[in-house]
Amino acid sequence: MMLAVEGVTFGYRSAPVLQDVSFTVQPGEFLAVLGNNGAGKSTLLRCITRIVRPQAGTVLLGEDDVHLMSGTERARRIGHVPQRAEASHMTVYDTVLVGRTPHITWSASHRDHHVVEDVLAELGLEHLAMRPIDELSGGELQKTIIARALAQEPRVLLLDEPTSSLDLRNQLDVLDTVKRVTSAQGVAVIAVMHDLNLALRFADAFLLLSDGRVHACGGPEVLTPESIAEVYGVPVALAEVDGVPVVVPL
Amino acid sequence: MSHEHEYKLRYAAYTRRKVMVTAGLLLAVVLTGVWAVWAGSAGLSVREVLDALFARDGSAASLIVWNIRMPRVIAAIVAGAGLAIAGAVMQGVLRNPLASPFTLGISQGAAFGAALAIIGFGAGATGTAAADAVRISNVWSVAGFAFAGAMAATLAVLLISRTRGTTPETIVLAGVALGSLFSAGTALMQYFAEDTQVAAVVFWTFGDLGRAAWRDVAVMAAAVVLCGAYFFWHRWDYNALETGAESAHGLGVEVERVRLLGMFIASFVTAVAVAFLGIIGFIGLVGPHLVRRVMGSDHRFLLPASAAAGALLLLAADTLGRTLISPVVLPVGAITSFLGAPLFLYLLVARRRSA
Repeated sequence: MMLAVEGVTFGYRSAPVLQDVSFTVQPGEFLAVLGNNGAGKSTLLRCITRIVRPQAGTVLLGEDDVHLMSGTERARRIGHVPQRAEASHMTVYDTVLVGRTPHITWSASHRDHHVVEDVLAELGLEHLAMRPIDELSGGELQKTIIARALAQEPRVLLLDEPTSSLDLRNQLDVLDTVKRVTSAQGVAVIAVMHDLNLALRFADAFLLLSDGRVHACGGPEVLTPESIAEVYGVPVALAEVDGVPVVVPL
Repeated sequence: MSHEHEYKLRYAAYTRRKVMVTAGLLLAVVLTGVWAVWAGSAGLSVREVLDALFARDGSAASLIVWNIRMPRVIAAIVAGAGLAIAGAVMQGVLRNPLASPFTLGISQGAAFGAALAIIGFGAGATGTAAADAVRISNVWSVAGFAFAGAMAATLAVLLISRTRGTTPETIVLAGVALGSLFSAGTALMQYFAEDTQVAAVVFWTFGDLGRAAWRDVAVMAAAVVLCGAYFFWHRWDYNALETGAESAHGLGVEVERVRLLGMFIASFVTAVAVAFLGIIGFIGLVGPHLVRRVMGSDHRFLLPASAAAGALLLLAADTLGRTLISPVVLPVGAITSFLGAPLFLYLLVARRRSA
């Protein structure tokens, strides 16, 4: 199921944040949303999940308008991992089980528990299953929240700066896991990212936002030194180290 | 053994433990209830109490058991459960461990309402009966005013939080401010009131379970059962809110609505209990916190267990209050505050240490 964002426009009373933003994401594709602070990246994700309501434009998932869905319908198809999750005195297992909320009418079924078990195994969280999430490290908590979003069995996964508070190893680990699981299951990923090197390494497609407008959108070919310099206002060089593409500010 | 099997077994054991703790609390409520019906200054034997329970024959024992002790015991159970479950929901939807009817100004609103009825509209302290130094002449109008005061405080808190954009911090701060305002209003009224009226207000302010007649208990029970069912129906939403509003939205929860309705209904339960019984502090704070420490914040288990814990706490406190220096009956509101405040401080310190 393809996600299509068409002409989304949003602004607070005086300041426009997003203007006529359009793009599509295919199943199994990993789209990195890039741009300066204040370019409207997080607002774009918030528009897609209707935390805020865009003044114009539509978000279509397959044939269906995401903004006409009920919260539960939406949550069965779109998982959202916000920038910061609060910790609580609940076990990892129960936290991931809460991801089944949109599928549960009265109580958790065998299938719900199976989904949780599968996701925990997939993300390598089994050894933490009984740990309260207020006793986890940043990386472990982030993986737990991603696990919960995957337990929703979404078609689209939205990640808002999924690695910004993680150390190098956890950054790679979290994105590796997300990439592996979502491409295997055909889940589309839209990730707001700050680290261009991580984006280059994991994303298949790139959306460059500049002052709330789409500057460029497409495969790795849109990430040129010129486009990056225009969007970020910093001159850069693109190079490859041992076959890994890297961006170096000049 | 592999992690896979290990955690499944441990999860099953963990769930079983939570069920057992809840069952244990319920059993403790029943046992304490039996003790509470038996204990008292009338000196009834166990035999007499049992006879009276099963045969309402109009004997003195039967009258004491059925008309005085039973409504009191049931009132303690119902009000304790209601206050604790309301506290658990308030803490959950506001994501603030200090949220409770008292910290949000709801109890102070009720006291203001009661004071207004007693002093402003002469619903109390008109009696000259020697038996009662203080008398509330019109129980229902005081209860009604107290209820209105509690709901006014609730609505004010919710309105303020809405205009400023609902963050949990604004709600709690608005509650604290409103609580002070209502307390000041009550104090001002008392300043201009007659001695007997002041006494009546003070007397009302001490929560007392002895005020509840069967009719009042029935109203409270209906409110607690209905609201408790609503809360339990929404237990997954409250669990989703545990990791923040945006996370919950991503799980399909209508955050604003769940929050506002949760607050409104929790306040309603509190208002009903306070209107009939007066102010009983700390049950809504200590009950849920005790349970959270033992079994975590999963609302599937937290809500029923908090209800049981609240019922047990209030029942035990009231029975202690009746028997400690019998035949003098200490007001249960004072007892819960005496037991609750240190217990709450201990919980805070112990939590800090373990963290």
